[in-house]
Amino acid sequence: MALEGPAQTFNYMLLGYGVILGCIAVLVISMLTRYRALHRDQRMLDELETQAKR
Amino acid sequence: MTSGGVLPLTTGERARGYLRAVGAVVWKDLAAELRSRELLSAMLVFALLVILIFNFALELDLATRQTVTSGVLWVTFAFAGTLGLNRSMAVERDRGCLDGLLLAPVDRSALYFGKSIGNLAFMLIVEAIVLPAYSILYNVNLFRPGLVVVVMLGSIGYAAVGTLLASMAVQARTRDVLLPILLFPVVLPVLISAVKATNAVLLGLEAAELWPWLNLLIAYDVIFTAVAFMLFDFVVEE
Amino acid sequence: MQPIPRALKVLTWVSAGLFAAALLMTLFYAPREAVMGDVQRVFYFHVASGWVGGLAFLVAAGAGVIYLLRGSRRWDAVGLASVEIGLAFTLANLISGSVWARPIWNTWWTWDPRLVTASVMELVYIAYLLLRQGLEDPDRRARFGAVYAIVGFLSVPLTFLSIRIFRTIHPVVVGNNDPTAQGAFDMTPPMLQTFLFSLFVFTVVYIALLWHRVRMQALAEAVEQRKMKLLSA
Repeated sequence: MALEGPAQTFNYMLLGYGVILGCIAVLVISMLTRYRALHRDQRMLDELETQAKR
Repeated sequence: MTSGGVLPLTTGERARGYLRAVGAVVWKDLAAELRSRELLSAMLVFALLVILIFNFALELDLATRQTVTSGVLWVTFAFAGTLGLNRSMAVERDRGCLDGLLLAPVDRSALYFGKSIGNLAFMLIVEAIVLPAYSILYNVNLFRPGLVVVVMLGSIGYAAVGTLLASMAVQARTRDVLLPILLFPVVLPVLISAVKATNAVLLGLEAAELWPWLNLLIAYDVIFTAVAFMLFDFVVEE
Repeated sequence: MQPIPRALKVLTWVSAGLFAAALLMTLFYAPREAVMGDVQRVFYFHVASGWVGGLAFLVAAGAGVIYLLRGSRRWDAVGLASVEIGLAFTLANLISGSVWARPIWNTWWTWDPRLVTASVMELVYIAYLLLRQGLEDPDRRARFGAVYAIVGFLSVPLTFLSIRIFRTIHPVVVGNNDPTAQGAFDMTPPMLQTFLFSLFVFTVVYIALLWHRVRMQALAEAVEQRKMKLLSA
């Protein structure tokens, strides 16, 4: 067994890293997307409020 | 209560008042149920149907039956229990009883104990009927004294946490589906321990196999009754 | 909307940098494990993700307690933010654990206590979000969320315990190797350094994400209020 060397698991390593980075990426992207939507809403509300005042 | 609204109540009077409030809530549920019997019949029919489905879902030959009985029983109790909890709390909400009860000059926790004892009672009644039914249908001897203890401990834990969570679920839009989603992940330790303990009792295993599970059940019951009782206030305030 | 505080800007850059450093460290500094090969490298981020999942759960429960005692909406935001972040990291933990198990134990899933407990934790997280979603009143949402976070958090150790006892009494062999071995390997000093550094980095990343998410919640509530005012005007 010692002569065989470590198992060939490179692909699994890539998959594992991909999964972890993917989950974190999805979280970050979802936060960024929601942030943008909220900023858009804010700008729209600013416009509506200035319109209402006139 | 003996003293009027002017003099403060003694500890003894408060305790008696508290117990009376708990008793009143339990009696209200039981009496209503005795008259209509809709909750119990629903739970019972459901439980028996589940047992029936298991007969076809699992090939219960004699050998398998021995090992699988405790699991089948507790899955049945868990599902029927959900039904009971949902109905029990929904009834309060729908009939507006909750508001009336909340106005009463008694500690909110009395309401919690009243409801959970009522829910426990319904579960125990259903279990008391399902166990002999299962025994007859599957020709499995369920008459072990230890079984009563295990079923009791498991049901207490289930009802303690279930009453709290059902109070929340029933106030949501998604009330019917929400209770199982909230309850099952949290009540898992009870189900695991109850199944293993029941298994130990039914197969007549030695005490070392049974005690860890009983201890877990007791620990769970104590912890969650205490926690639910403390948190219940936050769940019913309007 | 207030501009991002300087401290948060710094923290964000620092966590990104630390994360990159940790990534490089796990890939190049840590040695390749003798038996398992490259897939063992996943272990560092796998455990760190699990750690963040547990930490997030603890923070959510704590925030729940404080919210119930104080009533400040800020703590509800902390709870919600922590649950969302914990959800993502626990998912990362679960799937990466599965990926690691496959070449090592020749099975995609083992019913060992830690994996099952992580799954149950994930389910509680999801249930928390579904509970909030089903409620209209924001005050009730916050209160019930707090209650459920507390109840959920208390149940998870008991779940772990019950499965642990289950395993001790009935060790079931799943897959080819003994799952209780936990893919055990000896950690050489560089591995230990990488491991601890990963834990540290993930904690920093968690704090940064939490802060951002809590700010976003404040913004969301402000926007919601303005919408209500405009609609009722």
